[in-house]
Amino acid sequence: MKIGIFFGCTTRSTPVLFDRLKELMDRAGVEYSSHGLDLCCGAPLLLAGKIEEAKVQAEKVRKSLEGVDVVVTPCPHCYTIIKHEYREITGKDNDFEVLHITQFLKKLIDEGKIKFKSGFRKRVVYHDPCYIGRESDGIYDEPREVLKSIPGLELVPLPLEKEDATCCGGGGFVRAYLPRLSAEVAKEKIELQVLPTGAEVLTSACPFCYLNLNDGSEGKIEVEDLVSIVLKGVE
Amino acid sequence: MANIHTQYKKTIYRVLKDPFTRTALRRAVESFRKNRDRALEAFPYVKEEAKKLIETKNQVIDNFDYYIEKTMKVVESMHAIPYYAEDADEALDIMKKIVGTGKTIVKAKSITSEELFMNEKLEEWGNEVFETDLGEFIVQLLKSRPMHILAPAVNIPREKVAEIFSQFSGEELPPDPPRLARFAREFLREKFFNADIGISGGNAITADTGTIFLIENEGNIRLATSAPPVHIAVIGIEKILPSLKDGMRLLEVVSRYAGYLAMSYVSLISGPSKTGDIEKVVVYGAHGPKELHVILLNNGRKEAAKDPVVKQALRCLRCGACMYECPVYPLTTGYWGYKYMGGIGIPWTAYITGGFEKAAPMAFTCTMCGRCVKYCPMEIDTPKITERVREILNEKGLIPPYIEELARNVIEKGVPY
Repeated sequence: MKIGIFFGCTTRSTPVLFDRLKELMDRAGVEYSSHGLDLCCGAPLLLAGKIEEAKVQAEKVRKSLEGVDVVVTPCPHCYTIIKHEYREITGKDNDFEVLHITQFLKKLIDEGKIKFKSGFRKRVVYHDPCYIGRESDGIYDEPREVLKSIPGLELVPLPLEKEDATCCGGGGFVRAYLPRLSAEVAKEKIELQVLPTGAEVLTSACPFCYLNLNDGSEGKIEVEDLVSIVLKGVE
Repeated sequence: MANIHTQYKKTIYRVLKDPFTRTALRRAVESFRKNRDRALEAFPYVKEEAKKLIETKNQVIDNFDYYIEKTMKVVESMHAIPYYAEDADEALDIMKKIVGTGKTIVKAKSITSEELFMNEKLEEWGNEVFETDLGEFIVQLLKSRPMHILAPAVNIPREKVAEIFSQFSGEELPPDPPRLARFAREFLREKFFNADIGISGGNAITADTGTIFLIENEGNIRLATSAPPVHIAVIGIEKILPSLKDGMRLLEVVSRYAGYLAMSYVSLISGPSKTGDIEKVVVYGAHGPKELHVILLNNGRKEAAKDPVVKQALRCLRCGACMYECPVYPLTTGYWGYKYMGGIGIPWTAYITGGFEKAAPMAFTCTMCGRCVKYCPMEIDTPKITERVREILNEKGLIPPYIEELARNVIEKGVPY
């Protein structure tokens, strides 16, 4: 089974996300080919209403994934677009399976390929990204199970989560169009929902959520991507 | 075009810094959620009723011409005067003929009237206009515009209200909500009874009985539509419902989803006031209006109904739930909007009032998180509609420059950045 990791533009251009994902995959001994480094999934085209151009992009991406059986991506936007939107815009199915990184990590943990040594002794809240959640396949359990399997980690629930989770403010290209508004949405979520839980770390599994929550945190809470937390638990 | 976006950005960023708006909206969201959950818990069957109403609304949206004709006929048979207005100009021409000049007019809150710039026009023709909903009255005195569809003055603190009421009355009024409400009551009371004309919208109008539904809590709509000798109702064609029964269903759905166990007042108006008490001679204008004019307004609704994705936006009941459940709206309030606001305001601005140019900045203020869909009794998929509107914005060359640049980068270099 050939695994391809589709990193996506935002992970690729955020070293803390990019490097740690590669490191975690190496530690787990995953053999994979790299994709989505110089080829975007097409999200910006779809978000800018350019459906025809997105179709062309979809075909380019599919071609770049030829021979891959399972595409793993850390980006919920890449995930939903490749997994669902490609079929919607091209009318054709993919030749590969698509997994979000949280689903893949769950598998690696179950198979014993990821083993925790040091663990992560902190109280953590998990923010559900819209595009693996409500707006997509409702991947709510895997990220939580991954986090709970890390020794010492205490997962604290948010008042509004899963299907009912509120957006970080970074979606829909708002972060590109009105960055300060996006950050303010994140800040509001952190103040009203996250800080009252008393958690020490806010995590998520989306590069946009990570960047945006970071912008909105204003140092009031540590923001860590889920992959980084897993890596820290392994080390 | 770049200018529109710069200006918009400035406005939004200014609102973000307004501490009052933030506090007021936090409170509003919290109490809205509590009330809505309580109302839906007390009346659990309303969720099923909402599903039936979706079917009914779709039936009307797919058969506008049939239902318009049917409603016009029945309205006429009830001795009211029906009109059909193709667009805002036609509606205003009709209004001008009915209203004329030199009149005193009391108004019920209506976004449809905002859509027509009705107050400005009525004043331009030499009439005096009073908004009678308290929030709307405040907004009118401020010369501002409503910032929420249900709570137009949601972003205005009591001190500000006291200041403008004091200025207006020449009397020093304290920042005390009951005292301020009493001032509005006393001031407007005389207006209701001396007004020549009352103008309202309508939550619904039924095609079998010609009944206009007006749902409210203050009682101002009741007075504005019954005290003056003439009542004009301007109603969007998407508000037509096939039957009176459907109207009762809508009443329950819209009230519960807006967070009310019951609304204080529901007026059902099917024709002008009449009596036959003297020798069975029918006399119009007994205690209520002698004349009832019903203007059914298209103004882009039929065009919106042609698009298979956009048309669901016409099901909107204006319960306001989506705005309170949105991650963005409580921070921007109605500044994310033109006449219609928030995510649902995107198609309404594009098709009904403002056009695609005004809708462009709005379309890029929606994070497409889909939380509104979960809470919409009409299951309106605003992210899907926003996607569709963005497609049309692209065709029209109205994508904001920086977004366009990122998309161009993908086409030319493979990646946006």
